Amino acid sequence: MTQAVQELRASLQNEGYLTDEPLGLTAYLAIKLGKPILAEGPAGTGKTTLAKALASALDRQLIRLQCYEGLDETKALYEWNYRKQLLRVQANQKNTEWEETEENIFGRDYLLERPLLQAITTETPAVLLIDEIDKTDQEFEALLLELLGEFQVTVPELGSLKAVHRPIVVLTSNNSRELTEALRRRCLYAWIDYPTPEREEEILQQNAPELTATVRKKITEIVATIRELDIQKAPSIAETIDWAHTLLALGKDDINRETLVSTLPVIMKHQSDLKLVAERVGVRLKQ
Amino acid sequence: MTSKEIDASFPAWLLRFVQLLRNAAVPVSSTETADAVASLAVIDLDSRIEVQNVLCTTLAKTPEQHSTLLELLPPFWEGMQIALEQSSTAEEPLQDNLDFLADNPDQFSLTALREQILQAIRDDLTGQFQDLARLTIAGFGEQEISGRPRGISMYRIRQALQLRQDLELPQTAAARAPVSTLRNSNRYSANIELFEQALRNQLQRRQAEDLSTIEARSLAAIGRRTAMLEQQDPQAVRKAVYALRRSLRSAGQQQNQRGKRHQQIDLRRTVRQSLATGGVPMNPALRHRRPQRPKLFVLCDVSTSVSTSTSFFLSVLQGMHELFPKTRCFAFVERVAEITKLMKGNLNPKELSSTIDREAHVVDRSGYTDYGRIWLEFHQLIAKQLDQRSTIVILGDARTNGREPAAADFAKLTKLARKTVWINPEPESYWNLGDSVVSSYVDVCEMFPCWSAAQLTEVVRQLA
Repeated sequence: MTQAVQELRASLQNEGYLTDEPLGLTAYLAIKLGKPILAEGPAGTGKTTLAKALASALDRQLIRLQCYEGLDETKALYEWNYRKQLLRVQANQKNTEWEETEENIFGRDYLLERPLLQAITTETPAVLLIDEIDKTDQEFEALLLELLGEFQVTVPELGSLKAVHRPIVVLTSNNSRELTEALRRRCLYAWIDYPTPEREEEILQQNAPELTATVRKKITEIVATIRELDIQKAPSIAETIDWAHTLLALGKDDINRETLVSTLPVIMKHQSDLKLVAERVGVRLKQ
Repeated sequence: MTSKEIDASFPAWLLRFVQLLRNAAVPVSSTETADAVASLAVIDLDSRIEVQNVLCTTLAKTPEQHSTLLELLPPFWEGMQIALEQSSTAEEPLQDNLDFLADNPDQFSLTALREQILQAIRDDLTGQFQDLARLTIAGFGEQEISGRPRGISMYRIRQALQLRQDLELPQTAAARAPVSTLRNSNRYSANIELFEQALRNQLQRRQAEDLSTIEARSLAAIGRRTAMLEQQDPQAVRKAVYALRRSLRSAGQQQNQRGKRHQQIDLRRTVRQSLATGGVPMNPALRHRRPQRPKLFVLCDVSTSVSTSTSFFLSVLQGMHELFPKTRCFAFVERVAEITKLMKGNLNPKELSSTIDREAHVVDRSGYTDYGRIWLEFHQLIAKQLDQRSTIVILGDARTNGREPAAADFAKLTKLARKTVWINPEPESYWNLGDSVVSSYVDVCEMFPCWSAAQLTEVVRQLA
């Protein structure tokens, strides 16, 4: 096992983020080779948190671009500050030649930097998180290709802006739309699934250390059973942690049927799911 | 290990592996291959798990591709082991010997080699065993081994070398006791064991090297023309379905271009953009039209009359489910049941068929196919969701056991969808014979005789 990978995993763990071997390796390669990571998997398995943990473990600033339908380059990349440009033009109207004005108003001062450009031009090294890339339209992906491949952005009036420090890029996707091959090709791929009960126990230990071992074990077992049921939304890791904190706050040292039913809304967010889980899982617990 | 050391042989193996992946419909680009090489250079190549993880993260970009990659990996290991050994063992005299042998196979001297091996065994030069074993096999390979089963060749080498004879002669009769006691008492015997183990290893690797021509084998399997084929190569099917995806996708794009004339202006964006030109709307922004994605409805006959093709059908079903996330899958015999949810997590047709056996409610009374009733039920289930983007794919033999074919109901269904494709596992000469009611359906859909991946590829070509 490569030493450097272990070290990276250890420092991620220090930030409260537990990685499994493949993910640790992918993160290491991303740093080493300067490649973006494409993290896919069900909701709530720690894809976004990976970027946050990487940023704090490597002491880099985190720049986040939350994607949504209809996101375009003026929101993601850059936009000219029209108002400022207009003011400048009006202020200069009488005194200067047009060429000079033009040179002035298409300078960096009049550029509004959006997250993607910011990640390129920032002086301090950064981690760029492009969250839920599958929510955008396909054209937006094309926009990303130059950035992900060459780490540069071309502004027609200014030319190509090259990255001062190569940012570490993490893209996340819930697979609500299939991403293009071109994008996949440029990234290292990481499939982040729900953790095994053992790993989830470790995660709980990290995040709720006051919890007794028996409750921890029980929580992970119940959550794993719930995830296997045919429900609308399976509980995420964050919700598991919330549940652990809830049980702590209530001072419970065991989970019986009544505790489960009363605290279930912490992990289940659909009425039909609530009923199903109470029926299927609740009956297995003590009264 | 640095990249320089693996330069010579490793990429060749990696390229072969990439070729294997491509044949299995995992589209690996050369950039990705280069990524894999670069990544392998910065990790510890001795850890298989790590190499496997590197290959997964750089070459496979979907969960399905991951599982394909893991399936193909074992033969790759063997190849990689050989590559590594060849680059790391550069002990000159033996290497020279080997080269010499390769150039002049007829110069192979059994006695000289035997002498060398005995020497090594006497002097405890265990480090040389691997190379000596390689030498031995290389020599025998030209003379005796080729074309014979490997198990026999191990025996033959043993017979020819007779290592035990010389070394054990000075010993008393006790030396001929069972191997286990010998191993404890006799250093020579232990060394001979070690050497033979090395021989065995080398032989296995040679075998693996020969096996790396898997590409050819799987292609040959596809070409076989038999409806009785029990196990279809799921990867070959997947590949054909992958081609289908491409053709459906391009069809969608064409439709999109036709629609260009009727685009609407997006007022908000037009005004916004006009700010750049001082309030004059020079470039009207058009309302974005979402590209149309095909909606697939796959109906699969799972009755006994198609049992010979069931595994093929299920592979197709799985391929479609993997490649078109929106596919809705149905199984039918005399009732139709949606099985889209059952498809999840079933990676091979066998598992899937047992899941269907258990959970899909497809029969009620007789257990024989009733196509007429299927159309009625399917119409009730799905008619509202059919539109001009939908394609219905039917996998079945149109043998309705003498029951009413309900051709009119079927025609109604096909009219609702953009296209209906019927894949019939019987050759055309069987159609309309016995209880086959193909003639009732063939006019309103596109029906193809198809029971193998190769034929499916052909069907896809005709559809495109």
